[in-house]
Amino acid sequence: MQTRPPVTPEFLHFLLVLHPSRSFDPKSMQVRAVEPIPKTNEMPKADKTSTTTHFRCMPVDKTTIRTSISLKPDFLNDPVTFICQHGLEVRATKPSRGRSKSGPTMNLTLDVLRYKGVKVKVRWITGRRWADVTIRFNPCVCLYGHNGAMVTLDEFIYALSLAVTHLRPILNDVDDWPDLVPGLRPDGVAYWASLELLHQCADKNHALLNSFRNASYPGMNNPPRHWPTSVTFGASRSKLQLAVYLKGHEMVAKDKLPEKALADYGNILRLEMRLKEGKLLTYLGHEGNVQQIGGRDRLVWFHPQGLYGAIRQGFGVFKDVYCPAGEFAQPTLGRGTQNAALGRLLAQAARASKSPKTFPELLADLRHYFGASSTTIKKIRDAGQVELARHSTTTEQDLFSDAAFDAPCRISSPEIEKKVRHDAPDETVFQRISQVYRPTNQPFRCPVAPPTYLRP
Amino acid sequence: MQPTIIRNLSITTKVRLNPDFFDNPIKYAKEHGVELVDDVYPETQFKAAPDGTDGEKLRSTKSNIHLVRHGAIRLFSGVSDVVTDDVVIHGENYLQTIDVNLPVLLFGKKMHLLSQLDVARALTTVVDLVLPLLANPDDARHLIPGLHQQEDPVAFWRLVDCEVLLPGVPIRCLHHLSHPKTGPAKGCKAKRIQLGDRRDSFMIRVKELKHKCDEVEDWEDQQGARVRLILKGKKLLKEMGRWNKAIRIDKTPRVGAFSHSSITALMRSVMSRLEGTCLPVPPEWENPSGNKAVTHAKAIALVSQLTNLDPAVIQAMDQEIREPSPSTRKRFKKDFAVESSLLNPLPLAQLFNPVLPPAEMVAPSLREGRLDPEIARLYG
Repeated sequence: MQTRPPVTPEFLHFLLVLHPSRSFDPKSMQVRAVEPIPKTNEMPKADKTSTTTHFRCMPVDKTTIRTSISLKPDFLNDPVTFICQHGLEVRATKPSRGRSKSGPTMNLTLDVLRYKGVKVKVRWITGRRWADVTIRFNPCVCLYGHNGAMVTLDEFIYALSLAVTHLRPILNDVDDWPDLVPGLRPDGVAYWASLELLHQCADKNHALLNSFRNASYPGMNNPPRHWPTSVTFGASRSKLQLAVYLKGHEMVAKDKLPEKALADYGNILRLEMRLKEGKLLTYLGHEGNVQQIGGRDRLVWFHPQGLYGAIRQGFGVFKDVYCPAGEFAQPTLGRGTQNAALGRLLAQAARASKSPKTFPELLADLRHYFGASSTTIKKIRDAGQVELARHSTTTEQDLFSDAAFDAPCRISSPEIEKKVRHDAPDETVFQRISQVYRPTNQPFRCPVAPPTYLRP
Repeated sequence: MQPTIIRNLSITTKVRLNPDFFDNPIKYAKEHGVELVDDVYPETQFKAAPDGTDGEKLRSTKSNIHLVRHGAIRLFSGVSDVVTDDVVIHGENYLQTIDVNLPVLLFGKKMHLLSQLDVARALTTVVDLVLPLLANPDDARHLIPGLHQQEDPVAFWRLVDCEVLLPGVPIRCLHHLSHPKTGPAKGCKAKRIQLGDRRDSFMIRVKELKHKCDEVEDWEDQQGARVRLILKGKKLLKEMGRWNKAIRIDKTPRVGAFSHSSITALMRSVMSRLEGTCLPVPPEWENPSGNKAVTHAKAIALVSQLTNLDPAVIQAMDQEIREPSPSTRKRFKKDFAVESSLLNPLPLAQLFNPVLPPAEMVAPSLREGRLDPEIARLYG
């Protein structure tokens, strides 16, 4: 028997905005649920027969858009009065002064929307028409107030449309709004400057997190940073950073989730890939979505498939984390393999439960205490990585399968979600963004229930 | 232990500021001789107006005022709209916190030893500089905790941030750091070890020393560590309570005036409870006589020290991997005993034992300046 979800006028409007080609029957208030989003937090096994090429989720967290646009002089002269007079959805504004190559600048930071998710920094030189605008946009925080939930592709477009709808009043010419979103104009000036990609999965007994603790990222010289529930690879200013952490624990530490919720969400592991500038092009760029802006190649749009490909590529290099496919033969050690033996020994010592030191830390200690050469350390590391992979129980194919990507683990925080309430965005804006960010022939999959941010 | 360097101090207070200052801060500063570093850029926050009012958004404004130079003195002030009988009234601007970085204020450097009178001298400077900004000059007594506050005290210490240097102790030689107040170290990294979180009221941060400290002789080209202690709020009150009598503000106990020597005593007391070991590199390992820097005996001796695993357990692992011959086992046993004896871990707390008598733990005064006799009496 089909259950009838609570359909509100806002939800119907939401669906019609998302999919105007669909028809809904307001008399029966019936919404057919096609492939409802699973609620399970178990990691699905890889489906080898899967031919899915479209994903329902958009795995992005924090993003940065950079653009150049003309803003209303009244707004730049006295933002506080302008915000109050026009009733803009701005929570805070902070002016400051800065410097650029062209001379001293005026800066203005705006917290947009009633809750959180959109922060705008405007930088301009007095007397000039164009202002540099940086939009820090987090679609999940925008709609749910926290980033533990995973937004769908439709929700990503919806949140981006909301941001544009609320920023339009400050533009000198409101018809310039396509310059706020990269990829909407063929010769546009907006581009994506940074993206955080993510994948959330279940990690029973934190085995996968512990595997990442002992892992090394090839080519990254900075040692990984360890906290009790997280590991981060790459320096804080690096263009590529990978973070692996227990999302539920992080949200509890930041007061985003009550401690008792760890019973449900304590095992959710989040894999995060933070890309900036050139690295965006390395992992996501292709001839269709890269454009020359300001003399440099920039990323101007992306689709979920590309983002998932980047996650697979970025996290796929941790050969010491995943169990190798097929039969695995333990290497035999003969003469001249002292370093290899030491590598296996260190890997085993690092895995021992009592050990407070990880494999990379033990390698760093070996270098410090013995002054061992890079060649020696490499031999030890290579052998240790093989040993670590041998003990892993997770396969790369399962972790990054289409099925796992299409049913990620989600965290719900009702206390925060109830604070978020949005009016619908402008439909024209939504349609225009959809044309670029929704892959062609993406199948329609209707949400089962109204999202929390559409409360009447 | 080297002398304790006081870095940042933070005061909480509530003193009304002159509204004329916010009309044109630069002009006001020029006219009143205030050493303002930069213009004041207030952050405005908006809140929906309550029902019944004229519908205009309620505003609250926060400002940072930097004096002398960036990082030396930072004043934080705030003002909020208030709704009374459905009428929105703009509130008054109050000074809420005063952050002072003593070495930056007195010497323009992030790290510099302070004399016994330098704390009092810096606080006198704070009073002199902030006084022209006050709406009522009599409120100057509410700027420094303990100052002329026999009745209705307002100001109290919110944060104390101090540091001690460990010359000759490379950070890579420190292992298994833990403190009863924070638990084990978090965010372990080659160049930094941190106990407690930035948001916690009790934090110890060990960093590799990069900046040269002018007042420590022979410091250049030495490897070493800086151990920084940051205490806030109730944790500060609890730790300082051993040497200072708390003052009561709105029936809540708070930290009042303290002497320079009590900061040294505070640092020593906290660090005496620091757990962990310092494992120096044996001199025999620094210049190995043979060709091989890494041997199994050395590695197993080291790994057993670093991981707390029983040497027998590691040896069993090794034998399973290598399957050594009886003669190799015999040789290994002998070498292992020799290498193990070279490793001498020291309890970490031992590094903080005083090496100088307390009277010599402070530097001679290098800076002239006005000294308020009352502040000198309280903080000297």
